[in-house]
Amino acid sequence: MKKVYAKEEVCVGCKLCEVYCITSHSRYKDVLKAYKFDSNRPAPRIVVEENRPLSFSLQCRHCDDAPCVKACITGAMQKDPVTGVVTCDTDKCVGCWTCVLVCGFGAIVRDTNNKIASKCDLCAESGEPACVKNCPNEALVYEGGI
Amino acid sequence: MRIKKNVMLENGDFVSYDKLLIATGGKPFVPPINGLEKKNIQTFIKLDEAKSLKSSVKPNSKVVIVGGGLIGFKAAEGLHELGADVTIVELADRILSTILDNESASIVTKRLTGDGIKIKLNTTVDEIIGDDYIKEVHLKNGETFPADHLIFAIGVTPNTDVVKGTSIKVNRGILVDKNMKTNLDDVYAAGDVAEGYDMLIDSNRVVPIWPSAYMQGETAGLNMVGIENATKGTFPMNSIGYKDTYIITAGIINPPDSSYDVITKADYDKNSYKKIVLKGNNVVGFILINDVDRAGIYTGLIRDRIDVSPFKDHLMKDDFGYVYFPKDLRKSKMLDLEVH
Repeated sequence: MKKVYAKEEVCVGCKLCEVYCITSHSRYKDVLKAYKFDSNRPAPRIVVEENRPLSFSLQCRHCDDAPCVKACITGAMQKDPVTGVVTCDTDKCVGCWTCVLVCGFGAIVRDTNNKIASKCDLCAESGEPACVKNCPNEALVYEGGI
Repeated sequence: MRIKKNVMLENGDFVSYDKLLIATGGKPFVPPINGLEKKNIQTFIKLDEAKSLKSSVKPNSKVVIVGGGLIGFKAAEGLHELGADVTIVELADRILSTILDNESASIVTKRLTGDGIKIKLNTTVDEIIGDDYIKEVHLKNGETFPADHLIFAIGVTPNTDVVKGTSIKVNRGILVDKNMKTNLDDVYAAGDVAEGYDMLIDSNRVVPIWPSAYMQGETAGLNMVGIENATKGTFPMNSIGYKDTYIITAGIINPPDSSYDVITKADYDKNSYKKIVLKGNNVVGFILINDVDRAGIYTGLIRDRIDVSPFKDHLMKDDFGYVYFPKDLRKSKMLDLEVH
């Protein structure tokens, strides 16, 4: 399946991926509006790891054998059998953080305001991950595997 | 000799099988004490029990929870929210004794007692006193106090009743191999009823948690349809919380001897605590209180038996993550280059 892959060699740690991840999942699909007006602004579903000079962004790997899907106590976490995308049905999620306990990538974010697990959905709505689209250095690619 | 493979149902009917899975789960343990027949005494396992409790408990109801483990802990949270006067009675010297050490338990205890929840340690219920309804609880330590509800939350034991009188081997739970097969061909067991392989203690034990049940069920199912699949084994892991206090723990958290290394870090202003247990160059357990984000990275280190010697010094860092992994390990995981 197509996933987002990081090229750590060319990442400069600007965190624009975080900014655009937030924007993409905000009710406003505009950076300024998302930051200025969204009272319930979502958390970034990306972790930018840094230990200078190294940096890269890390998001859900949509694992073949996804531990979060198996461990989820409510069935909120699902892997689409066709696309392979792992998504959290936030109506079912009760915020128990069992997914946080089992995700070996640490890629599931706790949205403590809404008490739901928040994770990369590859920007299902727009069809193209916003982090990839807006990475100025092309340090993120969306492809079928490297 | 060809063995007839049948199960007998409660109503006397027989159903034949090619492969059989026993997944009867666990049942709540209730100790044999005087006064069990009084009203308003119950366990806390099923949704119906939670619902009936919710309808019967009123603000200022005096509720005693016997057992300060995972079940009792969540019961206490819910009952406190209903306005009940809650007392936890725990036989061990701390609450959540199977998943916390003394230090982390004291952080969590403070949060509960700060809400007015009373915790009585090193003792248990000796007798329940009352006429029709429970009125008082008498503890082994001699204390007696009023109560109008009592919840047994001592834990669950494997529900092995169904195999009684058969040749299926049972220790605490039904003993299974790494394919989740019992000692009988074509008979499998999984979940809270099973005593399966624990990769950390390198022997079988009952680990009655959902993630283990899922993996065991999956392994059993695959083998039952003829797809050979051996489990790597499970280990205890829990994510639980009380209101704004979060707890994530896994593996061996109270090392049994000095062959383990332990690293801890506490921040009392933030009520956070972190403990990592190592055996040689492998992480074998951890406790995270409040600062629980990305806990799964540690779980992954345990699960995949990663040699952490190149980045041991970074394990406790607040920003610990893949950035501290050796490049080849990081890339193999992040770029799907791992050989499966």
